[in-house]
Amino acid sequence: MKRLLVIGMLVALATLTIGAGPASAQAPFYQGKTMTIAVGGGGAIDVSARIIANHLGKYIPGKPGIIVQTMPGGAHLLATNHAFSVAKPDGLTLLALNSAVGIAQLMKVEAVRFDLRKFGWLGSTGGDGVVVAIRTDLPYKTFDEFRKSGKELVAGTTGPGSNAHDIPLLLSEFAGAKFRLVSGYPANSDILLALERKEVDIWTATATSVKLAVDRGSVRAIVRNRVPYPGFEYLPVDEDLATGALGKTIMGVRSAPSAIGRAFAVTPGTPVDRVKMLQEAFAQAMKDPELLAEAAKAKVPFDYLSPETVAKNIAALVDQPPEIQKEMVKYIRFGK
Amino acid sequence: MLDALAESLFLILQLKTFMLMMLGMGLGFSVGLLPGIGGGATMALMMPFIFHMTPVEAFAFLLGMHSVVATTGDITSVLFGVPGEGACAATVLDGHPMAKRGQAGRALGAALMSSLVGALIGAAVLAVSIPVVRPLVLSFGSPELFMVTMMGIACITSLSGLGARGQLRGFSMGLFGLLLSTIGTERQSGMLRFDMGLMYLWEGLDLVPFMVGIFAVPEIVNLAVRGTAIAGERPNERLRSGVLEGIKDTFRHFWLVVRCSAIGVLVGILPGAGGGVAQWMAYAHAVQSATDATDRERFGKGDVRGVLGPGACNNSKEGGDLIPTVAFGVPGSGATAILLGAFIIMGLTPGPDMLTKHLSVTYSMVWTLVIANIITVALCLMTLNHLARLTYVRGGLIIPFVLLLIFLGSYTANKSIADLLVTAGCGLFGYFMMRFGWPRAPLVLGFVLGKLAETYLFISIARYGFEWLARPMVIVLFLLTLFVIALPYLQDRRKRRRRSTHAD
Amino acid sequence: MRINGRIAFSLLLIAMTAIAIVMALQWSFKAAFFPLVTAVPLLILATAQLMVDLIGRSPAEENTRSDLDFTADISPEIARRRTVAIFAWIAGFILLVFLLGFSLAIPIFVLTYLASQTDAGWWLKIALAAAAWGCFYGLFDRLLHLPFEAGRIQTWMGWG
Repeated sequence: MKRLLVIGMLVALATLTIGAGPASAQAPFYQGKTMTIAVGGGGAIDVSARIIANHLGKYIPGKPGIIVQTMPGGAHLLATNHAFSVAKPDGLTLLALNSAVGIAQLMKVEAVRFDLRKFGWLGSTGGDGVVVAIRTDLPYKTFDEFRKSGKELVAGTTGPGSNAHDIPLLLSEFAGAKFRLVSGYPANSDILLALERKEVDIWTATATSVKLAVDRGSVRAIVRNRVPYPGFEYLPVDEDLATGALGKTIMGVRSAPSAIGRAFAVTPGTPVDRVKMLQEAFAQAMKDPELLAEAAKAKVPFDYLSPETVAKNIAALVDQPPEIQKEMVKYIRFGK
Repeated sequence: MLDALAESLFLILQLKTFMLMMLGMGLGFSVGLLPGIGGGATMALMMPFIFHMTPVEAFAFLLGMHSVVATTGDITSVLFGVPGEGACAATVLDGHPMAKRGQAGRALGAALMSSLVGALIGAAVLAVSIPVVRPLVLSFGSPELFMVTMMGIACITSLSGLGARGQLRGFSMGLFGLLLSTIGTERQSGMLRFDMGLMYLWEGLDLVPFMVGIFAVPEIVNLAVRGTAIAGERPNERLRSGVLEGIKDTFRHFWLVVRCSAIGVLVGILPGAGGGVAQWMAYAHAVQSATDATDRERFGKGDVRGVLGPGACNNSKEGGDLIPTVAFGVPGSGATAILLGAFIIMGLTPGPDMLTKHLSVTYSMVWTLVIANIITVALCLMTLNHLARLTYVRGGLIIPFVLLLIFLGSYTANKSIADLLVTAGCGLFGYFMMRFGWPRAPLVLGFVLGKLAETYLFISIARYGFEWLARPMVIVLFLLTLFVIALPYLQDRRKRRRRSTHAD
Repeated sequence: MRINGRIAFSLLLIAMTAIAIVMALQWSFKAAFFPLVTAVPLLILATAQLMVDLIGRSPAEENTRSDLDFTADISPEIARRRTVAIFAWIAGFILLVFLLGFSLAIPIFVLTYLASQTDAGWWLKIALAAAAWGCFYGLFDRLLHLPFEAGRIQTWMGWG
């Protein structure tokens, strides 16, 4: 009897503490609160989320604290699903998008439980182009040289769905390049190591990562996708190298996520005035000199994209006619 | 090189840097005790703070945290049978039985001291090999790495019981572990295998809930069944002398400790093969160092050598892990992958630069490993006796806390209730394994190695067809593998032959 | 009784392996290769083990490395009861977490376990439960900012 009493008291106490949440309505909504940025993995998206988390709070009335929460699972699908339907639409949860999930939505992957078009977009910290790189000790200095030689090169990839896989695959199919894909490397860094070991010849990754390798002298860039990156603008664009309209279109769709870049969103259903305020805050934060300094130090190219641009690019990616979808499935998968 | 060493020592000993290292150590200490929250996850959480630090400070902080985790992980392994870190699971096999026999102090002393020796050796190798390591790492291609995983799998014979049945069970569990590792997305084709329609299984079964379930839960059940304290009805060990005994053990078996440290460093250097593997190879090596069959039987029941081997190895591996990270930007483990992120934030590029322009930063990492480990072990040794006393607390009081430790720890793997279910399920499975005499070590070994083996095998074939089988290094490793498999039988034959000549 | 359990376990292993093989046969070569290469020998070995268990000598004569020492001085009756009990507590804890979230589940679990399994004083029990909750809150929530899902009941009642 006594035990039950104590347990009952404990439960009551706990309930009271949880129930009596912040009730004051005078202070700005974000006062004393903590925002969460959900991100599905590491890399430039994670770094960009952390940099935003460091500075966004300053521009939001109430100056909330912001933390980054990694939600690994399903190659960013879990985090995206979470931000779409599980998180409360109160503006306290943000999503740091990995735009590749747009391909998943396009491919109607079963685990997709979101619609990118419905998110409240705040803007993007910039897109990262994708660049194809070749080992420096190989004689080919441009893509054309290589294509004319008719030789075969080995491209290391992490698996279907990755940049390392899809871009060389599309170039093989539609641009006459002879690439032999060797898949299964656990991560980009393993491919780089294999490159140094002369196990593979070709590596494709985000422009930021490739730039680091180019600076080190291990690789030379030969092709890029439609999103230009400082230092790589002169490279031929893969879509221009494609020999047919189908190839061009598929490559374009494959490149669309790059154009969206590292976008941030709030859960659909968040009150409109809060979304507007967050959009403002985001735009201002992207002008903050400290933020830009941190980004420069981390070598992630920050370039503000407005919420309208983001929404437009997302629609362009996801709204594809069914014939294109049918063709795409032959060449592109959703994966890491 | 020497003046770079001296200069970086000076950098570490700056007050702010030193304080940051101590702070990191404090965090790493508490976190290391919790299974699941590895150094990796904590380091990721600490990332925001390093934005405002200089490179040396940042690495002192992060590495201070990281290098301590492997040491304290051993503590919970010994005391409760709960591996505090993925790489500390092997310590449970002999460490916890020692605690149950009332020798917790000795086990802890052995674990800590061997950890220190291992860490120092790892740091020394890191310092010395930095200039020459690139060609070494580059000579290990996918085929060679595949052979190394084969060698790891070969250790199963040493980890299983003797006799036909023991080996049968050991191999079965090894194969089962390999099979379990195939759950998830297959890398080459992107196909989902055995996912049962659950997104949770897309990346495969997570190591932490699996391992914690298999090792720790049966121990808890055992504790609940016995109804006594962990150390049972044994008389109070004279604790101070217990720890001292453990330290002496480290030096009694010094060459074993050194060899196991070497294993840790070598496996750490190889990119991809992580701490999960190294500890089992070290444990298998310790078993192989037994002189005969009766001696071998002592392992698994509380032989201090079974603690010394893995204890040394999982610390020396830290030094080894850093080598490919710093020299190539290829992380050797999850935690070093996070560390790589720190490099980028600091504006440093891993690679030749770290070995030339930023050599002092690299060496400051070496010093951090050395100093952090020395301080940790010293502090632990002073408090060990009190920790060992926990094994005398009534089981009923301890059980809920250890259960919390287990479940909170595994929750952090994927932050989902599914983690708890997996832990409980694996716990049930592990319990029955124990009941019916199926060895657990080969299961975990197979699980850890499976993905690596498959990956490297496929890459080797895709890239080289079948010519890779003729590469010199591959052949050498293959012969070594055969040797490792045969070793227990060879030892047995030798002993029997000696016995029969004696009888004449 | 123990013999039957042993056989049941081997059967379980065989069943799981067989299912795995059946599933794997439907996949492409690359995807099925590794699973089949491991599952087929496993099936053979597990079946061999089953044979051995059914017709072989008694377990006492085996030289198995069982790395746990189940003390023999508790009667099997009590042992079985306690085993079932502890698994029941584990299941109960998970259910608590599911329904109420970690924050509430932890102190409730600690308190109820200590209350029913030990005879420590009341204040000690409450103190320990509070300490457990405090550590959880301080380390996991405040310091590490780990996300903890709200329990089902809280979500249902709109509190989570």
